[in-house]
Amino acid sequence: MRATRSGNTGAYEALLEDIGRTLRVLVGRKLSRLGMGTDQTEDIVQEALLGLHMMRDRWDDSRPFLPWLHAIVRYKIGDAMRKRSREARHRCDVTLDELSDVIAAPDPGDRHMPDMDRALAALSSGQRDVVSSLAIEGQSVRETAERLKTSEGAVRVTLYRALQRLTAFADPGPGYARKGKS
Amino acid sequence: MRSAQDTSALIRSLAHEAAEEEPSQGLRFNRLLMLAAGFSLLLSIALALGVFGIRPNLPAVLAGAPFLFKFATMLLLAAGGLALVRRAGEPGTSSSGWMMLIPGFLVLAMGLALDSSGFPLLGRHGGAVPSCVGAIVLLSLPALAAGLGVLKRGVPVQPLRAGLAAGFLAGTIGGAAYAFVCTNDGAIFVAAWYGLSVLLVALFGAVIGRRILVW
Repeated sequence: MRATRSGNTGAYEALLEDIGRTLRVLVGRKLSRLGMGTDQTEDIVQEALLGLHMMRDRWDDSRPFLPWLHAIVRYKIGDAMRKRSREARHRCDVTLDELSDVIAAPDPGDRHMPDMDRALAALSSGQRDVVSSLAIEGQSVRETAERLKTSEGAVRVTLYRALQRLTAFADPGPGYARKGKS
Repeated sequence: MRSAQDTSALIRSLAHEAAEEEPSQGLRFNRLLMLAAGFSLLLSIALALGVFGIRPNLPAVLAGAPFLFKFATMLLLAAGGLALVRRAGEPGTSSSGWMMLIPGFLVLAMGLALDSSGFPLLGRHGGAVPSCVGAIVLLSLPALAAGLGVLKRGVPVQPLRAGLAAGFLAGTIGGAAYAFVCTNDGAIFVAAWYGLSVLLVALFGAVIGRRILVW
């Protein structure tokens, strides 16, 4: 981290890789102990790294780095896990609502919006905010960052991950095919 | 579901961003916190004197034991509050800052033990309690806003506790400011109603902190 401060980008990348490796093991173990699927491990690791990245300038370099890192990562991981268990319930609600929307839809010609809503429902709430702000409301990255009170970098990273998830949604693997799509 | 390669890609983009962006310059968290606390104390004192008026015998009051007791207790507790907020905003510092509150409570206890004035708990007149509590809470609002603002520029890893600490600090600053205009000089009055006001502001801070200090 000290090397990063003096402008050594390679050191920063190596540091993040290092932390990422340790976290992967840690988070995986934690998830399985809580009886949750370990398929979210990588997401949570990324969230923790992102949190660290956003706060990197706030570390006081006259203080030891490791306790600081430890506290931040513990907070981010705890936060991510709480959000997961809350969102698991929330996402179920959304699906039910949409199901009834689709059933009640009188005009089969207007297929565009439900499809989009359904795709957006595959995103986490943070990703949804970013995507709808950028792509649907047409705001700029800067405006979005200001409105969501985060940095432009974070918005870009969120968008990047959201797009990956949307791609996976639009091109589902076997067993994921939706009926009625011509 | 993300893969490890994916994380490496993210890391590369973060490292790229870190290389492009200048590290943000600014005051360190500690210094900022001290400045914010100092300024909001001065602001609240000015507010108190402005709203309640300057008593003609102010110099005599300020030299008297009752004022000094109130002011010293609140300032000592505020110092403890500062230490708590500081810990709350800097991860990796030891989390038990509660020891720092001991001096303030000691002075308060001493005042209670030594007070033989027999001053009524409910103050000189009927409106004393609500006006005292209301005034302290209002006078602490600038400090609360400042404290939470500073914490937002720190790294609070326990939002609720951080808000609680900021509220406590703000409440004691409000109490210290109110001491300049307070005419109720009993130690019991101070302990009960200043204490209640500080508690209210601390809880308020915790509620707000839990909402706005997450990141």
